[in-house]
Amino acid sequence: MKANEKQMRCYHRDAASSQRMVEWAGLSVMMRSWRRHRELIRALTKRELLQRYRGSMLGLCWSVMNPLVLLLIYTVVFSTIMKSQWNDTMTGFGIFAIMMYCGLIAYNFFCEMLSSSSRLILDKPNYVRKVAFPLEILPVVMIANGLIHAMIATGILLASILIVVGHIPWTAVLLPLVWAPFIVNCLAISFILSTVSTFIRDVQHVVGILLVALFFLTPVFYSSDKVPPYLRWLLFVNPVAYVTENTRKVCVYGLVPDWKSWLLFMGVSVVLLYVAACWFQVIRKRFPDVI
Amino acid sequence: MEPLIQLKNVGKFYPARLTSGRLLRCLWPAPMKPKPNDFWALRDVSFELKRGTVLGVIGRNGMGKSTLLQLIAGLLDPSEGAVTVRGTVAALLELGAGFNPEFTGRENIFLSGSIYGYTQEMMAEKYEEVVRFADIGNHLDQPVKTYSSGMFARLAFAVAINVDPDLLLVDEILSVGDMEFQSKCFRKIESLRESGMSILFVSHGLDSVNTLCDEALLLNHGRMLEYGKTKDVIDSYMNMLAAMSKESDMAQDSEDAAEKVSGARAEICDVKVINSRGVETIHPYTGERCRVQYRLLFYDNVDHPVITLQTRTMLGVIASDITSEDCNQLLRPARRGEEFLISFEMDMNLCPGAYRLGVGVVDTLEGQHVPLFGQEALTIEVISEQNARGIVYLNHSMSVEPVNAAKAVPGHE
Repeated sequence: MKANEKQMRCYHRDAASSQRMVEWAGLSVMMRSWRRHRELIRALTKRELLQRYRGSMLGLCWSVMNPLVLLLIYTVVFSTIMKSQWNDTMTGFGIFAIMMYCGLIAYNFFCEMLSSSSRLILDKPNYVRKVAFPLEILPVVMIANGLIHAMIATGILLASILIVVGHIPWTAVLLPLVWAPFIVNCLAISFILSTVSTFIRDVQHVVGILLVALFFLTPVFYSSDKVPPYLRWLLFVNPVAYVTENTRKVCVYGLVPDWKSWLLFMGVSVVLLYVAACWFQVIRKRFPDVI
Repeated sequence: MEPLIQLKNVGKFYPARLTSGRLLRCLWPAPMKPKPNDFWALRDVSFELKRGTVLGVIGRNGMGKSTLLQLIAGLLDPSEGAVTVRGTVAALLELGAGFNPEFTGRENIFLSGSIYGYTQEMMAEKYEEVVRFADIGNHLDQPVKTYSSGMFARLAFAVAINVDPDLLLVDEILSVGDMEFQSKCFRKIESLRESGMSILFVSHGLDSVNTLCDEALLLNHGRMLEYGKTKDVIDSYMNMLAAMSKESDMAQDSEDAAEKVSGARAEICDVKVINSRGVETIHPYTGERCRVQYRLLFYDNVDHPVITLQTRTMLGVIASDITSEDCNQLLRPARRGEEFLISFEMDMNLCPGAYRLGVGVVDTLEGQHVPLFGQEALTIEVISEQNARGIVYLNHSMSVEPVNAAKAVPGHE
C-alpha cells in the first residue's frame, strides 16, 4: 500500500535527448511539478514567513506593523507637513498618502521579487549540489511570500480608504484580477533573473541600480497623467505602473480596468512565462557546473 | 527483473576554466561542447545494479566517486551516455543538506520529508520511527544550528533511512557519530537490504566496504578500472596503491637522501609489511600472521643497539611496543657501514582500522636508551570480515546456555 502512495521517482537521463536545444514542454512539466510539490511549496512559504521574524518578540505582528507605520508616516509627512495634493480632482486629508500607498504595495512587491530573485539559486548551493530539490518551486515560494505581505498591506489600504473616503467602491473586488497578469509577469522575470544571476553575478548590482530608477519611473508618488506624452511608453513597458494605475482605479476611483490592455498584459506575461520556463528547464542542468 | 540502476557509457565533464565568455555561453540553450582541456570527471562508465545489492565505490580522492553518486541521484545530467533509475533515491551526499539551520529538528524532519516527496500525513506516520532512531532526546525542539555535528548527523541519517528509499546513496558519512550509532546504522542498513533496498556506498574505509558490500567498483581518473566481487576489487585497489606508493617513494628517496638529519647515526629504509601469502601489503587482515621487515644501516659504531617496533592507533595510543631486548635478541656491537635486514613476525590481532607502525633503533648506555635518529613509520589499515571495534582483536567466540527454566524473580512481578 505504501509503495503505491509513494511517488516513484523513475527517471532516465540521456545525454542525447537532454542536449536538445529547447524543451518545448517546459511549462507543462513545471506546472506538474508545482502541483506535485504543493505541500512543499506550502511548507516552505510558511517557513520563510516565520523565518523572517523568528527571534523577534512581536513575530508575525511585524508584517502588519511595517506597512501600518509606513502609511502613518506618509500621512503625516504628505498631508500635514507638505500639504501635497494628488491632483485637482482628488483632494482631502490623507488622500495623497492613500494614492501613494496604492503604488507602494506593487512597487515593494516587485522590489522584493527582483532582489531575492538575483540570489535565489546562488544562495542555496545545497539545493543544487546535494539534494534532489525541485528548484522550479523556489520562485513560486518567493512570489507566494511576497503576495502574503502584499495582501496584508492591501487590507490596511482598504481600511484606510474606508476611514478617509468613507466607503470602498465595489470595483475593489476586481483587485485580484488586476494583480493576476502582474503575478504571472513577476514569475517569468524571477525565473529569468535567478538563472542569469547564477552565471553572471553582476546582475545583483544591476538590480540595485534598477530599483532606484524604477522607483522614480513608476507613478508611485505622482499621478500618471502628469507624465509628458513623449515619456508615456515608459509606463507602458513598466509592469508596476500598470498595477499601480489600476489599483487606484478600482480601489479609489471606482472604475473598471481597461479590458483591452488587461488582455494584452496577460497575453504578453503568459508568453513570457512560457519562454522563461522552457529556457529554465534547459539551462538549469548547468547550475552544478558553476555553483 | 529490471535492474534498479543502469548506466550506459556515462561521462560528465566540467569546464576547465569559467571565463566570462564561457559563462555567457551557458545561457544559450544549445548543447555545450567540451573543450580539449576540459576536465572529464567521469567517462565510459557502464554498469547495472540489481535490487537488494550493496555496491561499494572505491578509489582515491578526485577520481569521480562523488560525481558518479550525483549522476545517479539525478543532481547532475550526464554529458555523454544515459543514466536510468527505476525507483526512489535517498541521497546522503552531505548529511542534512536539506535542513534549515534556523528550524527545529521536528520541523526539519517534515521539511526534508517533503523534499523526498512525502506528504505531511505520510511523514507523520514515519515520525515516531525517525525520532526513535535519531535518539536525540529533547533537543528535537531546538533549532538544528545548536546541534553538535554528531546529533545533526543522527537526525539526518534517521530521516534518510526511514523514508524507505529503493536506493540509498551514501557518501563517506558513516564515519560521523559515535561507535554505537554507527553500528546502529549498519544494523539498519543490513535489515533494509534484506527487505530489498539497494545501497551505493562511497568510502575510503576499505574495511566498511569489505563488510557491507556485495560488489565493488573501482574508479581511477574517472574511468572504471574494475567492477566485481568486493574482495577482488579491494585486492586490485590495494595493489594499485602499493605500486603507487612505491613509485612516489622512489621519487621521494632521492630528495630525502639530501635532507637526512646530519646527526643521524643510523638509517632505516624499505619498511614493509608482508602478509601470510608472502605479498607486500598495507592492508593486512585481522589475525593474519605478518612480517614487518626493513633494512637498517649504521652510519656510526654503536655498541649496544636495540631495535624497536611500536604500533599506535591514529590517535597515538600505543597498542604494542616491542624491542629486540623483549625478543631476547642481544645484538652485537655494530660497525659503521654495516647493514642488516630486520624482521618481526607477528599476528595482526588488531581491530579493523588504521594504525601506524613506527620502527626505530636506539643505543643503550648504562641502561638508558639513546636515540640514533634513525626512525621510519608506515601506516597500515587492518581490514577484517569480522565485526569488532576497539584496538585489540581478542579472537573471541561466545555461547549462551540456559541454566534453568524461566521462573519469577522475587520482587520483579
